[in-house]
Amino acid sequence: MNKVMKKQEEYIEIFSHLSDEFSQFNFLINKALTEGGYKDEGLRTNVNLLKSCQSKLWFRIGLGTNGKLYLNFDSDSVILKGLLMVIKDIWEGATLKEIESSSFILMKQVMVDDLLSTKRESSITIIIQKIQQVSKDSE
Amino acid sequence: MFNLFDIRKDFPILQQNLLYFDNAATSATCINAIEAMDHYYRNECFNIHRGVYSGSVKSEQKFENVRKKVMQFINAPAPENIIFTSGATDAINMLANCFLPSIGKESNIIVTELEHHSNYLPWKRICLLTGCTLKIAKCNTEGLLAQESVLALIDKNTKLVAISASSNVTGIVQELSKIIEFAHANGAKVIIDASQLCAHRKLDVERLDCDFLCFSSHKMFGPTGCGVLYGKTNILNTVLPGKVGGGMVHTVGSGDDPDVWDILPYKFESGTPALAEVIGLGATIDYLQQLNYEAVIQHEKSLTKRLVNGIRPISGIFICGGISHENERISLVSFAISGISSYDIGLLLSTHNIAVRTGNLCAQPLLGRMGLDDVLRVSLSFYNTEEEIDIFIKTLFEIIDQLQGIRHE
Repeated sequence: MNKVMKKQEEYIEIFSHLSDEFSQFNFLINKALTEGGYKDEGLRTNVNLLKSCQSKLWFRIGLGTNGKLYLNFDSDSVILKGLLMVIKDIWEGATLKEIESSSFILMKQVMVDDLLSTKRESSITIIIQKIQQVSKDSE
Repeated sequence: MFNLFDIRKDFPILQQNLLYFDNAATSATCINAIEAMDHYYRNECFNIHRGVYSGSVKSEQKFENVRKKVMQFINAPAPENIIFTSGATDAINMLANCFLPSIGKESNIIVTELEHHSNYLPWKRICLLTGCTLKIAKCNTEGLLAQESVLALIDKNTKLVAISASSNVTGIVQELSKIIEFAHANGAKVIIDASQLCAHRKLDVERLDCDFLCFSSHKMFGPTGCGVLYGKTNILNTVLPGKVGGGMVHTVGSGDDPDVWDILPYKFESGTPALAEVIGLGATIDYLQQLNYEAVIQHEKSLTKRLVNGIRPISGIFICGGISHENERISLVSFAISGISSYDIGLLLSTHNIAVRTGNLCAQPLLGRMGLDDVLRVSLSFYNTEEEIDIFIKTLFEIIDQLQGIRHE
């Protein structure tokens, strides 16, 4: 199992101990408040914006000079930001080979998926597609 | 007064462990509508208009009887003025198509920043298709629309003025009389989107003297998939149907020969109507007619006041439409809190079984005017209680603390 899949298994384990939606959201809020404070100058610009009717999401995804994936996120929504911090934790530093051989299984296996609207889920789907695109673009 | 305990029994969905504050999107369906539709599907599910058997004839009689009920409900002059649609969005789109052939480049259509996208985009689209000018009446930064800002745009080239009777964001009841009068003086037609007002105030198209008015059944305790377009007879007779198909044509012309449309209102009702839903709407109107409307309005006003007073002290709160008592408001309050995402609040409220709506509420022009990306809307109905409001306010304060990382040990 590669690092990306292993990290997802770890989060599935964490979420399995959070018995209700409230606990899961609380986990995401705490994650955003404690880990989401990093600075990425210029991130909050229109070129990085993914707009939905619910809340804004800014992202930068690419391959670093070291050949590994980097991801930076921001959002007006603390809960969404927490979820993005989870995605960052899972994927950051992944190699092209790891990106190619990984799928995103976390959302379908945790309860928070039920409460995130289809439109929001589609934003997460777009983020995952952008990650996978990095691998395709490098071919 | 009315008995809230008894009233709530009339709405099966309220029996769940849920504080339902999303009534402006879809209100709870009353038991009368549910039972009427159930009865229809079990016993009377026959197509209407050209059936030559008794079941079809009886269903048609019931269907047409609902048209009369709607006529009385909005004080329209005749059943022929009532067109059944699939909802307000359908009604407005259909109307826009009806006017399409008669709108030229020299014409203008007026909408306002208050409008829900359903009363904005169809007109914008017609303007793009015809080259006619779309004029947009501006609100102030509080989300209020002065009649004067609409009046200033009306001229002899104005074909249509499309305006909401009450905003789905601010809940403010719009003053319309001068707008309608001045539009008519300039030869323009006025369409009123009463989607929000229909569940909170009595509608009276004769008094309003509007040319068209539309609303959706599911926002006034009836079924989804059904709505009403009212139109004045002389205009309905002159415009082309917005949709064509079966059931609305008298004679199909040979080749390029013109078709002869059916009489009103059938000219505008192509295809099989939402029969069960229309019958459900009829039962809903029966239900509403036996309510004490004055008591309903007073109760909703009291709930709204309690809500506004409860949320006013929140630091950084912006209440759309303001809180002035000079502006009449239906029981709907939208707000944004500086530095806190409405989406987050909505998600966390849902974990407490409190249902609200968040986002741009399909009203991007208005939110843009107020400098907002998203809001949280609490929309109440007469079956909501003071206790529910108090629970909401207490929970809201706890959630704000939670999102700001404030811990109460």
